[in-house]
Amino acid sequence: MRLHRLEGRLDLHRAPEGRLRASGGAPRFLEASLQGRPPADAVYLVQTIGGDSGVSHALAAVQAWEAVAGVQPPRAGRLARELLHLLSVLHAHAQQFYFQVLPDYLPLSALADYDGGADGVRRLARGMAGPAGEPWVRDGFEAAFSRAERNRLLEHWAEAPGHLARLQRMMARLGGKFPMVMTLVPGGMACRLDADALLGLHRELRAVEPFLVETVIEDGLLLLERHPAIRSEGRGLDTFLSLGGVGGAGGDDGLFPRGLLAGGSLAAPERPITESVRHTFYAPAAPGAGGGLPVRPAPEKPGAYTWVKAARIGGEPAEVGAVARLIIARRTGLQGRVSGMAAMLEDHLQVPVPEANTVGGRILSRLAELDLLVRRGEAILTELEPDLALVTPAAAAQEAAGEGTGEVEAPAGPVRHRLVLERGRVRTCDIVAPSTWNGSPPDDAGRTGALERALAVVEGDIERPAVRHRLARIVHAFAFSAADAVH
Amino acid sequence: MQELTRRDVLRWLTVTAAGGALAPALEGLAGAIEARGGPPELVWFNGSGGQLNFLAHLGHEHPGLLERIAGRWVVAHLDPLLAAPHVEPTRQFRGPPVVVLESLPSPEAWQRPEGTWLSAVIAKARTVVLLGSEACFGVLGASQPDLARTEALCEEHGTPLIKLPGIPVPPHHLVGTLAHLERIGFPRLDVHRRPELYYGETVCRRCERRGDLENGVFAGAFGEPGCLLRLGCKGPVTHNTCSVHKWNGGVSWCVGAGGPCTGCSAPGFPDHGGLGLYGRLSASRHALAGTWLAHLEGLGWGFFGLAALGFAFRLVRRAVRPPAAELPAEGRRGGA
Repeated sequence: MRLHRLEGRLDLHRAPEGRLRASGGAPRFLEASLQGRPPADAVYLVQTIGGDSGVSHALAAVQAWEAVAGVQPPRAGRLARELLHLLSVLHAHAQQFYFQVLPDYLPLSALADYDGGADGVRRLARGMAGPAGEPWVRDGFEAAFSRAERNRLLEHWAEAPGHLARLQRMMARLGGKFPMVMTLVPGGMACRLDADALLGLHRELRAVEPFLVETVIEDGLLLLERHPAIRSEGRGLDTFLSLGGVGGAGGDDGLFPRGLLAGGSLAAPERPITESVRHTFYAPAAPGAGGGLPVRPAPEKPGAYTWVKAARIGGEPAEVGAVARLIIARRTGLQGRVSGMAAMLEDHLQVPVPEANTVGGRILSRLAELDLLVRRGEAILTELEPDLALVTPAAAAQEAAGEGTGEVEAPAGPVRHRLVLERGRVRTCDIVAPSTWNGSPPDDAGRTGALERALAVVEGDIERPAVRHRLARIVHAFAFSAADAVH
Repeated sequence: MQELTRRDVLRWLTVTAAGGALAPALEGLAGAIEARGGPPELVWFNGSGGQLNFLAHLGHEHPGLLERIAGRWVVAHLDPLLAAPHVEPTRQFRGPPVVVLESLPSPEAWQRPEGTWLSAVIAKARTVVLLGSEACFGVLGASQPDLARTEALCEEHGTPLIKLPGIPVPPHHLVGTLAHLERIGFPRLDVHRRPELYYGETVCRRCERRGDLENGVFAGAFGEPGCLLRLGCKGPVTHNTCSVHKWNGGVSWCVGAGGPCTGCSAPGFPDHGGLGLYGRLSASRHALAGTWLAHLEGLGWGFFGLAALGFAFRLVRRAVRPPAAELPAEGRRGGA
């Protein structure tokens, strides 16, 4: 069974022993294709992994390059990067809610029943008469929303692209265009932010703020209220990982702290990060082959069922994403910044934050980040002044040699890029993508990732509409991207 | 709403391809399509790739576009919004649909039910539009065999094919191409099957830094003013409308923001004949005729040519005319 409304290809099937398996397909072998290229190509090409995580990947790649070259952006350049990144996270969260999550609870067929006053929704209803009218679209959907609530949600759904366009315009001012930003360079950013650009950014952020911090959150809370089962469904792992740095600033400057919460103990996430290929269509690396070399594809490998590698930290699987960031932040005792978010989650999920790793908790924790990110964006724009230097000249970076790592918290979890450069070219590029954590198959010790753990409780024929919808809700709550996971 | 004539639509397309007021033109086109009645059916298929193009369309500068233009088309299938695996194979289309492929199906995908369905739809499609450079050129996430298979399928069934390359594709390229198909007819394509309307001119030709190129002012590092040629800009060899329409509502674009053009809509992307994305172009190799760089190279070759010619002349002269000592006494100048 193929799951739609996510990037890339994800198929679900039952293994002979009855467990549900999530199989990511269509690999692009990007790590292998980057070998021999200049690192500047990597900063650009990694964005083709996907739209939601593209900026995160580019940031991690350029940070890895800078680590090799020993260059650092000036403060204004770091702030500009952080702003670009948090705008991409805002965009991803809002897009993901309206176009991936919400259709799991509000079928397209609701368009045909719309009787509100928005012309745009009525026109969309006419244009979507094919898919919306198909009988299977209604199957398995409980009539949870009232007519007025359905109308309101459809109107917000139809308005969402306008707000996404606003966020895209902001990212274009910083990055040249979105998707695919063009101004991340070693040493900072190639763009200039004059008074007009900064004023434009201020204006756009102010204009989109009500949608992000009020409308989206209200719709999310309504969804949770009408579907109380998702508060406790889809429980994942009890180990959580955050590499900090939503916004790219990283380290102690990041909005969220770095941390690994395992067995109830919080520690710095300094253990080695590896990827198991036990159930993956890759041949194991030869002994002594050296880290970072891409493993050889083995599509006929016995026992393999996915192209997603199993990311592990210190050999352990971990759940990642907004809920992990919040659980770890709460555990470190960061008051003020996250206390409001934590309170909202606890009020509406009716469980303590550490138990928020459920469908409802994952959806709500992403929405809870929106307000925090908007505030941070405003603070950055207040600090940035016109025509500051955003880049430190780094011509020597073109011939840099050595190894460097870049880590960023993407919308769905941590991104890590490890680059080995030789004579100004990529010798190896090792990418651990966010969806590789949650979407991982079992590793060599048989431990599975958060997604398959959450799917394990779903019984019945997966082709039945009601079961299919339940599976979709679990998967989409992770903001999972198969394209990101298999890269 | 008054229906636009074919001439009006032509004028709109010319304006949007060359720059100008986009919004009023789109409003008029949307109205014309509405007035005409019976919108055509659109199938947007994305087998397994990223959704860069869908995201670009979602956030298109005229959000009303999704409802005004896309809403005019009966969306028979739109992968990014579907809840269920695929449209039932028995679904009847009112007429030949237009198929947009945002990614190319792999050989395995063609064997699956959705692949079989897609193959049947392509067989009866009015036109297939390949969206994005991966699909158009069989690069990165796609492959040459994937592209060859799709092209062969279209050829087998006589289904016309249009390519809209770019990473992502400027959203108005697809909207305009669909409108052209509907109101005017099949657009004229270049040798790479790209509409000349949108890929007929290089990015460099109308770049805001063109004057710097002509005056020999080049940026030596990122963040500096000047032409970005020395930073690897592929604008002179890349055909697209980015320098005219820019991106995301016209607020910026790659070169305008200081990022060299990577040639994402050029057939040579991403290798560009071994240069890579940011390797510096050579004037003679990449036919940059008329630019300052070409002039300089031309002058250089000219001097070399003259020197070689002079040397050759001396050799020939020495060969055909004996040295002065061998000449008869009467033949020497000033001889006694």
